[in-house]
Amino acid sequence: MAFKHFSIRTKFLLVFSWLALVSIFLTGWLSYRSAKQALETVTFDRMTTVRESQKQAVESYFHDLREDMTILPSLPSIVRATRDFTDAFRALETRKGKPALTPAERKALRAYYEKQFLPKLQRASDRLHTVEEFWPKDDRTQFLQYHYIAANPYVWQERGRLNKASDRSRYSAIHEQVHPVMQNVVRAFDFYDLHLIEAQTGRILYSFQKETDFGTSLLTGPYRETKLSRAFRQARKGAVTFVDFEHYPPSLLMPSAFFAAPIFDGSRVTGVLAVQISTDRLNALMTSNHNWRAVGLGETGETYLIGDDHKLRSDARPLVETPSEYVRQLLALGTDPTLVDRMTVHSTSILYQEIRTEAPTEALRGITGTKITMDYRGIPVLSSYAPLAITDVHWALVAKIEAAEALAPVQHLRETVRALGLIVTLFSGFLGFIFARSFTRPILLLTERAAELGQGDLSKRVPVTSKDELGLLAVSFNQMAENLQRTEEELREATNRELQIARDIQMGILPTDLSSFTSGTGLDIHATLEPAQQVGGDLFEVTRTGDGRVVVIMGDVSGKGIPAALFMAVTVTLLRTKAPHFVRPEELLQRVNEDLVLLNPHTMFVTLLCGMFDTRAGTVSWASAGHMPPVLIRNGQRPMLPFEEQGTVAGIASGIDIQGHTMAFQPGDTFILYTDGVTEAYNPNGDLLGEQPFLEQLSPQPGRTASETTASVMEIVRRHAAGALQSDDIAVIAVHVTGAGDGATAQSAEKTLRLPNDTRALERAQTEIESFYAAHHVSAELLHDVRLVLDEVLSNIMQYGYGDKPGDIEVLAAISTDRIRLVVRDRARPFNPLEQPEPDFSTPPDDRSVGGLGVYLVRQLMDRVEYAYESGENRLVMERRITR
Amino acid sequence: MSLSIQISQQAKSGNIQATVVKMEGRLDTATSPQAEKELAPVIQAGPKVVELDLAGLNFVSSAGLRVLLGTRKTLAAKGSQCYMTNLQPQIQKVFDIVKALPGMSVFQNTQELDAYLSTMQRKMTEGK
Repeated sequence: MAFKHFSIRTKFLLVFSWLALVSIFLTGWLSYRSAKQALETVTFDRMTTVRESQKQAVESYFHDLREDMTILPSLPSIVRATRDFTDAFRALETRKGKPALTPAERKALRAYYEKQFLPKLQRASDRLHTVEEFWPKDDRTQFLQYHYIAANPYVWQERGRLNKASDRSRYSAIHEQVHPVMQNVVRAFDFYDLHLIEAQTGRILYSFQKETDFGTSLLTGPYRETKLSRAFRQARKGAVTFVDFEHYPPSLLMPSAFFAAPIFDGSRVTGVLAVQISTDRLNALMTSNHNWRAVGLGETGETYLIGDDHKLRSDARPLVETPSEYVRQLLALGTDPTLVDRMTVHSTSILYQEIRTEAPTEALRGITGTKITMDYRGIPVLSSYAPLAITDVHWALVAKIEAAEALAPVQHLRETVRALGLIVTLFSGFLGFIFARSFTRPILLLTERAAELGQGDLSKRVPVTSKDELGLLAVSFNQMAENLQRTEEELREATNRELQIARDIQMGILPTDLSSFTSGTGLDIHATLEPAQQVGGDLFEVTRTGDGRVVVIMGDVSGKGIPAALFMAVTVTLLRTKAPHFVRPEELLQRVNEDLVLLNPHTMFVTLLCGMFDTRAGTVSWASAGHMPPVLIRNGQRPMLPFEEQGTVAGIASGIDIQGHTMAFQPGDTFILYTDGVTEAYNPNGDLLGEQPFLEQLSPQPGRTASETTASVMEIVRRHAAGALQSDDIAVIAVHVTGAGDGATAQSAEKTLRLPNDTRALERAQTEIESFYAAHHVSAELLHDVRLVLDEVLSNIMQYGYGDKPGDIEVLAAISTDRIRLVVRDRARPFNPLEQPEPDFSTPPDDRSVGGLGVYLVRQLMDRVEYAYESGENRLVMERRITR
Repeated sequence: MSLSIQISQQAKSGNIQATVVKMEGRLDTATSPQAEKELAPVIQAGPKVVELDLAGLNFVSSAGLRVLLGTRKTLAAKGSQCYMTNLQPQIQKVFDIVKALPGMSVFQNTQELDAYLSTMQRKMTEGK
């Protein structure tokens, strides 16, 4: 999802958090980096300091030792001891016949070699060793070794405590004198061992520790191949010599390094003083007496010496501090387990631990420097290294500390920054959220209000809570809503005014004075129209036909408002102009429907109910275009529905089928015509009145007058509505039959006659109708015109309509107070005489065709001529006003 | 019958021989075939002057008009002159409505026709 799709709240939150995160990260990273650099520098400096002090210590140790080794051999006691031991050893040689050892003693020595020496040696060795390798061949050696080793009451490494063996030899007597001196020397210089070696034979005349090299010759004996032997040979040439560590068999392959120096007796080298340096001493130097922390090496720092074979020359700190952990690490790194075993046996890493990392490699190359590297355990360390200047060996010194420890403060800084960053990020995110909420809340409120406004609730306002842009927006919004509301109210008022005017006009269209239509007809008619709030489409019409019948029409236009009002006006106008000319209500409605269809672009429709009352005949003809049926209340009986044919609504489709029905009525009958505003009146619960309840509530004893009846209907509606708002127009017409028609209806008369398709019948028809009209005292001129019109019309039908075919023609002649009316019907082929062309009067009469004159005459003589063809019937209606 | 026709020869002033056709009753759809039949010999003879005396005709329809106008037209084609006299008001009205009178020789009565004919005669004689 793109950033622009997030809500403002989320955006604020993200931006705030991001800013915080970035700034914290940047400052954190920068400070971390500089702190780290500073710390590295400091650490390197410290390592270098430690390295330098250690280097100095080690170098001066070896330097001093070398100094000592030049002085020590010149001590008179050493020189004398050498001389004495040489003699005494020779004296052992001269004791003839007295074998140096008894078989039992030899066996004991052998047992020592086999049971004690060899197993211990073997454990530290890669090769399989035999006693023969080390077994001294010389009797004197055997003698001394028996007495000072095998028979020594002290254990290995403690044997130096034996001052004098019990053999009573001269050697032992000298030993008793010399040994305490040597002991002092060994203790004073912290040597591991000290040998006096005869220069000429390489015989170790004296050994402080009494190891198996004691009494052997370094030139011919089992240890002639050792570095000690090399040191001896160098020393007897007169040079103080140091030999690097080796796995020295007499010390059970413990790493051993020797200094050797010549012993001068006068100018002659009579012997060599060889000392085995103590690794403890070296380690004490390198580990600052296990006080790493004090010299600034912390928890993981150490300094070590390393030889040119890349093997340690001092003990590793972890071996000293946490041996089991160290062993575990070594094994984990894939170090040979036997090697590790030997390391533990000798509890030293000298000559065992091999380090080929960058720091010692560079140092052994003679380079001094500092570097961050991986140490032999694969742990990143800060190293400071330098080569050592020690005569006879090529060593280097490395001081190192684990980066994790050295940089712990910055790690701590990093952790702190990280935690701080998290907290600040969360906090600023929270701030952003709070801020965004305070920012978006008014916007959301505005949005909500705007939506409500859009749905038409113009009364909504938003609180103005700030003076910032949002506050201004709120003010603008309120002003806009205010203006909208005012405009809408004005508009509504204007619309209401116009609707009221439309309503007034609409009501003005409806007939007001019904008495003019009903006087003398024997009918009492009253109409009520209760308009709804809105302009509706209910309509009614009461009129009188030319022949004196009374037409009562009730209608309801679909919909409401101006369109309905206009359509209603059109419908009323059509009904008013058409009604007098139709005999049958269904014909009237059909005709009105045809006209409405043409005048109805919006397919509105109207329901119409038309009743034509012929009071002379005592009949009423009904026709309905989808309207509610009329109700008849016959004196004392339940209200009934005498005509339930509902037909099709008018105005939509041409040629609708409307069935008419003629019924008789009696004096006292009351007919009620109404619109659905009556039966669909709502009560406050939203229930409709309904047709059946309406009929049930109608009294079987209607009012004495029509107006009482309409009032009672309105009362029923009012009772049901119980104050609920009237949603639709309510129109009611009551037709009360008071009695037979009086003189007014007698003035209307009609005559119907039927004649065949035969010109000979013309004469009779003309004469009969002439006499009908003559009886009603019309003028001679009108009688002539009627005869002429009949001649023309009927002859036309016979000539052009039926031709030779047989057929009937029906002529209805009617007269009312103000007009005569002729209706001619035939069932010949459709023939509209009105469509014939007018005669051409532009040519002289002699040249002119004589056709078309008849129809022209008819049109000229009658006031109204209408032709219709319906259901196989040609119908020509003609009317002429009577002027009396 | 509702129509009767009497045909006679009359000497008009100026020694003019005229055929006088007197019609009585109604000349309409029902009677026009009869009128046509009875007028046929007159048309056939083609006299110089024909006077249609309609004094007794009280009704004419378009069918009757057709007979009258047709007769006049045929006679004119034969060089005969045809005059109508003594039209009743309702007959006059019908002629008026269909605008059939202009150009037609119609006289209020027989005397007017006679006067007209003698004037014509005199003009013709003097012109010679």
